[in-house]
Amino acid sequence: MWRDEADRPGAQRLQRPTGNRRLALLSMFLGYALIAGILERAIPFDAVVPGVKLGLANVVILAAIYLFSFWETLTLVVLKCVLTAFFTGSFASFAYSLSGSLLSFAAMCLLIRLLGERVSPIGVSVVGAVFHNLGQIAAASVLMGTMLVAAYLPILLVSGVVTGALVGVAVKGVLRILRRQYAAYGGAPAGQGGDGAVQKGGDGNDVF
Amino acid sequence: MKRWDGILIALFLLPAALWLLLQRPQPERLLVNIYVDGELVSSAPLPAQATALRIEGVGGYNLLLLEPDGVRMQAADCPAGDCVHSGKITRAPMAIACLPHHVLVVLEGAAETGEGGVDIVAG
Repeated sequence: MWRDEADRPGAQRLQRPTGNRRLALLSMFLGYALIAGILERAIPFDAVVPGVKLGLANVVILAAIYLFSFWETLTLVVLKCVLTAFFTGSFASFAYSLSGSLLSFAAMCLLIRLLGERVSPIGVSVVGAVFHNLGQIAAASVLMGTMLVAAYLPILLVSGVVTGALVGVAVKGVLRILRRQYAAYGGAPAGQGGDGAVQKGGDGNDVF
Repeated sequence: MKRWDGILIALFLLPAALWLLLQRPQPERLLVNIYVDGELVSSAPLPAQATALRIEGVGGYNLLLLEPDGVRMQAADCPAGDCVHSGKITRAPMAIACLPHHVLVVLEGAAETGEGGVDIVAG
């Protein structure tokens, strides 16, 4: 997404995984996203308000946006939707989840591209969650030919903010842990040769 | 938390708050309108006692439970059962849908139902 690696938020503190580690981590992320999707169903969030989800898989997606390239993460998103539909869904829920996930992904990438380090994962996640809900409602409206959006708008916005904030906090934590793990392995955030100093803490201005 | 986090959150919460404050009042009589394949097949007011209504959709059935304060889908034979997990709807124009069966259940006001709607179709 960035022409210059230095523009990527968090570039100073967390170098992207490379090579085999990258492939392995990406694959594990897909697994985590699928598991998260299945685990979510054990929690009956649905009973309170129809169609509301915790969006645990978005922790994985958002972390991936910070760690991997645009196309890799897009592949992750699409595969997550397809495989989750294999495990648990009908075509209907697949259509909803794909449209919500794609819109959410696009919005989050755009936001990070525009704001960079001026927004933390919390804000990005809130935007992602709201647009995910929007995408699902839009798909439902199109598939059923009615304007459902109006009634669900406030619920969609509020639940998006709440679940998005929670997911965002989780993503911050995940990225911090990864940063520390890479530091423990001697992986360095700066330079290919691993000669950069690893910042264990961070100043208050860090995104994660 | 950075400044833009707050801005974005406020940006999304504000219309929600406004909407909740300024929303149109519920219509006098709420009707439960059932559409199959886009056509209105049944229209009924909310009953005084819980009543079950079986809907024959495209390729299967849906069991709708009408209660004094709302409706919910009690059972269905569609593969995923999203409609059953939709919870209960209590306000217009909320809706429950079973996409595989092309079924849509919407709470609407009598005025919006168009042509006065159709009374319950038995059988």
